[in-house]
Amino acid sequence: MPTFPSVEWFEAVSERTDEDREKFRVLGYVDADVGIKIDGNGTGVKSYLLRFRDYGVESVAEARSLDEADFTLEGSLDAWTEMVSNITQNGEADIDHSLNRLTMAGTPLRVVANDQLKADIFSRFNQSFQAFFNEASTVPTEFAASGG
Amino acid sequence: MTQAPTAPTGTNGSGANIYTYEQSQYIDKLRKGSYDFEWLNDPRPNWGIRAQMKNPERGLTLQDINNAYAGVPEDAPRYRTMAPRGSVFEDDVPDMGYQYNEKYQVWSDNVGALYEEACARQWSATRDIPWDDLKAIPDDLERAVCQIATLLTEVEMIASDFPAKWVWQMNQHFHEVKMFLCTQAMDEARHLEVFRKRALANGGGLMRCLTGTEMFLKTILHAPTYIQGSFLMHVLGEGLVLDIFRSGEFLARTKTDQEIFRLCMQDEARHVSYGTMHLKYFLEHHPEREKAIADMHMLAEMAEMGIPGFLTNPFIIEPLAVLMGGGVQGIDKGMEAVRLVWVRMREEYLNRCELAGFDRRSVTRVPAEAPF
Repeated sequence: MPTFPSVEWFEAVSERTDEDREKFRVLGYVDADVGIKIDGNGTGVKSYLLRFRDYGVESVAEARSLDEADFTLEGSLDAWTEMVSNITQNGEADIDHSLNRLTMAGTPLRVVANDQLKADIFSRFNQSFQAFFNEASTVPTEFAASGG
Repeated sequence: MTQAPTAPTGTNGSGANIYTYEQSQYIDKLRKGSYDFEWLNDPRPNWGIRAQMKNPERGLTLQDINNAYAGVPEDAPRYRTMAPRGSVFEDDVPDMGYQYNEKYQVWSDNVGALYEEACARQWSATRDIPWDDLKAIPDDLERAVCQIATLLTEVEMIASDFPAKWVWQMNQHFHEVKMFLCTQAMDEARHLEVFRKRALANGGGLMRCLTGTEMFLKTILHAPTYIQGSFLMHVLGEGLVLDIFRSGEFLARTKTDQEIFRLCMQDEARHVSYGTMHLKYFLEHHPEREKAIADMHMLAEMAEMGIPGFLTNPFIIEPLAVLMGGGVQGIDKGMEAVRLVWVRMREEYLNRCELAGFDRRSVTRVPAEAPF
């Protein structure tokens, strides 16, 4: 059972996305490099780079730097864990745990980008990003402990 | 080869000549079994083009065919014709009367990709919204949703009317721009549709429209030049509405509303992206760059007042605050979020201007924070 967060976990979600390719094809292709930054609240910061291409994720890597990302979704491990837990419990994010809902006010997650057009990529492909994370509902997940 | 019809050459049934001299000559040739075949033997066409799909998963994109042939528009094409860029046409083609014949007047470097993206991400307000999930919500929340839905039903169609007004005036040499604007017109028709449906689908109704909003829409619709209207609409207006859509998704109390706003948000972000990159291209390539920047500053100085105008409008911010506060009793709390929206709208607008090489941050009169 992959642990959230880890490369294995994101790859497992990505594999589910591949299995559901027709659904993602209907939503439209995606061209975006998305950074994921998770602050473990004392247990360190984990960063991942997800390269969304076409109808899925082409590669997942743990990243020292997220300079290559179009935008990065940042937040505490607690906030990320709550989002993923909500998805696994409901089969998809409920209305209080969508990516936009969680990032809109800059808390508990936020969208960070070097320029506004790159930040806007989050909006342009939002349905696909949400659908990707919703695939987590089918991935048995163990959660890393937060330092908090 | 068969014999031509038996109607007398050069006449119709009443005996009047309906054929030109050239047509008559051609008919005579056809009757003798002789064909023209100039199109078949013309040495001019760049024959043998075989555009390759860069990515078969996506199919044959505009970028693929542009990579293969005639992919780079000229800065100032000589002809005002509908003949496709890269085709063979005659010198005496009629002038279509296009007003925008220079690339900087319409172009953005991302427009081809945005067209493909728009085509790939079309959706149906009838089929793709989970209307079954719409459920009764408290009256104050439904009124708030309906007031916002009414506003959006009112304002969204401007972004169909505006491109429709200008597309025919753009030289077809820049077909990518025209095609993208057609997708925008369709997007906005769908936005009108979905918000009208939302207002009328859950026990509420269409609510108030204000003169001030109509005045702003009129300013866009009747902007004297494309760049002025594009700045007002794509950069400023749709930038604000993009935040309203993000806020709408954020505030949604039903899956139905959340999906409506999420899908509209995707569309709107494409339009803002084109507008920002068009402003950048316009300013970078304008033959009188300094004057162009000065003119745009004059426009922005006035137009930016739309931001405080928008965010001191009780028919906009109070419904938002009620939704944010979870009801009328929570409106004070909701106003905190409206203040956040103020900061965000201003900041994102200034960021987009900056990206376009248009520094408004140092001169804008829009307050950094809400005055309430």
